[in-house]
Amino acid sequence: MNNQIPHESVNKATKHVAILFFIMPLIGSLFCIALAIAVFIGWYTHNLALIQILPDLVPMQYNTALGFLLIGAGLLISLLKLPKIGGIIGFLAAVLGLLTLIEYIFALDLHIDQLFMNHYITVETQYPGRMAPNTALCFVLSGLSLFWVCIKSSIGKRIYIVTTLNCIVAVLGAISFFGYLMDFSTLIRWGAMTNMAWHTAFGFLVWGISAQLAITFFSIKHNLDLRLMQPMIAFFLSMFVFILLWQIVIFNESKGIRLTMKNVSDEISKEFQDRLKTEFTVLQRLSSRWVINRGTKHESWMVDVNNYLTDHKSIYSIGWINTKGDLTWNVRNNSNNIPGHSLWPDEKNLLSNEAKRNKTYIVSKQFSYNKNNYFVAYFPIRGKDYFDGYVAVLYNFENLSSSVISNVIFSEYNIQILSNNKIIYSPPAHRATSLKKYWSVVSNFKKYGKQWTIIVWPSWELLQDNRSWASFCILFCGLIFSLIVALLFKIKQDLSNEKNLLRSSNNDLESFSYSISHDLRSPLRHIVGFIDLLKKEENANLADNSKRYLNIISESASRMSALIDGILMLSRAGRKEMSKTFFPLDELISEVLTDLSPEYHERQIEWSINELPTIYADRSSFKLVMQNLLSNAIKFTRLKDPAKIMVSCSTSGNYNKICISDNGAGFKSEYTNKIFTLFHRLHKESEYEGTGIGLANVERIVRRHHGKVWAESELGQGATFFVLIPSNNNEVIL
Amino acid sequence: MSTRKILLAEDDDRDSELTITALREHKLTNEIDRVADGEELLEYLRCEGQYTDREDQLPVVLLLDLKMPKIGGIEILRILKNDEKLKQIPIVVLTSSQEDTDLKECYELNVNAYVVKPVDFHHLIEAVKEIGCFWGMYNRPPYIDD
Repeated sequence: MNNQIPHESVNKATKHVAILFFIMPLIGSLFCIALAIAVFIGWYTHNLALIQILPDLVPMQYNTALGFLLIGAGLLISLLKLPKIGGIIGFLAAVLGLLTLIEYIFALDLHIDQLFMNHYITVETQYPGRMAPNTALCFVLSGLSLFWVCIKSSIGKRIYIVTTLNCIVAVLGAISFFGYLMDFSTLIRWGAMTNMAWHTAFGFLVWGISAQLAITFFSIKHNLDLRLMQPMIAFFLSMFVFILLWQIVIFNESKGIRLTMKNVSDEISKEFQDRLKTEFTVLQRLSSRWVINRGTKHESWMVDVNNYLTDHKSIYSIGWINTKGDLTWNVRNNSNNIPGHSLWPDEKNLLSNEAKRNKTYIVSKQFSYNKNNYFVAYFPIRGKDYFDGYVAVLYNFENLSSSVISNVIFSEYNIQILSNNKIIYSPPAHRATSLKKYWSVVSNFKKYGKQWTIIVWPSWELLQDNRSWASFCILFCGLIFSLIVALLFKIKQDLSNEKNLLRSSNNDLESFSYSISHDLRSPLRHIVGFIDLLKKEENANLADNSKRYLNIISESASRMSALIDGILMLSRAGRKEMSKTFFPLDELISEVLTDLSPEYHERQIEWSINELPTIYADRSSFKLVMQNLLSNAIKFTRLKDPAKIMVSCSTSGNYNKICISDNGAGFKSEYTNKIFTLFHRLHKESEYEGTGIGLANVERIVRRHHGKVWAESELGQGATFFVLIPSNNNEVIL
Repeated sequence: MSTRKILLAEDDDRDSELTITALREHKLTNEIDRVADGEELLEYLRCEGQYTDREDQLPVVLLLDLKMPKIGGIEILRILKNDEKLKQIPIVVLTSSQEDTDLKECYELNVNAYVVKPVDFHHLIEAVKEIGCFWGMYNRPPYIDD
């Protein structure tokens, strides 16, 4: 972020591409505005298709449309070169979103939900008129993104933040949108609060992409490095894919759970109906026996009833309503400890003629007393020309329901039973009711003149048991993977920046050495030249010593020139681009020897040049290496007669090892490493001339070939120099 | 055939003195004219400015330094190459630069020779003498009216 070098490709961005990056966000922002206006029209003209698309879907709230109007207009105005105004509009949108979020988080009602429009759509939502929490979040982020463009901070930082915000908005929109495409239930119901409407999701996706294109256009115009955005975009694209995968896995898991719950719900309702049917059939015998016997004695009644009560714990009491409508012979079930009271509702109408004609049982409405729910089943004691009242059985709902639900089901699921929409059985208070809204499966049936509803939802334990680690792993791995991808992009960018820096630094060095080659040599030339002229002019008048002084000055200048040449060559060798090729080494050696011939043409040198192979190297710089080494061999054998110089090369595996040995002055082995140091010499200038640059140059060039150079020698017994270089493209660093 | 002049384009006075001294060592019959920068060179060749009164005669050889103020050597070469009349002038680039790029560019701009000024004065004298001799005496320039 610190080094923003205008990237070359940005400068080459054609006009067409730049215009594309302007037109597309323009269209996107207009789309958002059009979307908002369409939804406004829908709300005002009660056109449900515009608001909901399909009847069962969540509508786009009025406030949402307002938000889209703001962010669409904000983006449009920013594109039209008024980013400050766009930022203010964006800020308003963010405030709208933020207020809604505050309402959710702190469970407040700030009265903004239906501020502009009453919510009259019938799709059940928890808070009428209020946008979904993810919608509110998206407005906060998109508004913030518009606002942040104007904040006074470094452009790089601004781009990072704005890109992040745009990506989050686009991803949130895309996930909901894809959720709709795949299935309606999983992705958009955050805790079953109001869903993000389908066109809301699409709107955010469009806005997010448009805003990002707008920022890209802004970057192109300001000649910024477009690659700044790459890590963020890569991260969010990757996260989007993984979140989608995660949602698919969760969806499949929940599908399984829901299926099981449906079975449980059906099972319970069946069990419930069977139980009641069985019990009523059994209880009917009481009245049947009464009819057959034309009455019953109190004692036998007591015995029978007590038997029944012992067997059926859900019965609270059994009594007899006589023909006058009074409850008598009431026996309470002692095995329950509900405090005693006469609980019978006033059912005098049971004695109406119409009711008397009823042959089958009648089930009363439920009623509650002391927070318990009860109902009564009346079994008419009725035969041909005989009516003796009713056997009245008082049922306790809770007891009845608990006896229907097995322990297994009770432990794994939460069951709620409603009769005529009134809750008659509910799980204990500490059981997870928060799961109910999202997970509940409902079974309905009609029986005994009532509407029964059985609602099943899982317990926390069941959910956790069924939650495999797969979904969590996917999300976690996705996060790690996305971070790695983003990091890789960032590293690639940084490396590229470094490379550009190095290249420009290299270019600086090039012009520097160019200067040296001109500017430093000129004064040297003048020194040497004019001293010579002076010597010529004053030859007769100069004393020997004076002449000697002048010679020293002249030679010093020449030496300086040689040093400069050496340094220049050294730097050039280090900088130059290597272009390696295969070439015959013997040809190169002959060339070098021809070039060096002035240095030895008056001397006797015995050359032994063995058969030399083809080697793989940068020809021009390697020539310098050979030149230096052979020149040294020639130089340091000056005092030997005959001078012997041998050149050989051996190949093994991936390497070529070239040896140049001579029988010259040699050097002590303890100096083996030092001789490759720049300017380091082992002799005085008067013994053997030299700059101390040659071997340093050799070492540098060989190192750039990923090779090694070293020497072996004994004082007075010559020296052998070894050069080891890779013989082919498979570079190995030694 | 009137002896044409040798034209030396060199900004550095000392280099110029050395070169001219070296040329004169050989006692060439050609006169030596010197210009100090690119602009002056063009004025000389076109007989403009301070050289309006100069006889319109092209030099037998132009010894050109690359690093000159106002208009540099490479640019001069480009200008000369594009001029119908002036592109005939034989040019010897006499410069301190050993840069490959300069070498390549000069030959692409059709110079006749590229000589690097040696530091050693003796070598300089030798080089310049031989150049002067060859171009001044032996070589025939392409000017038809000679």
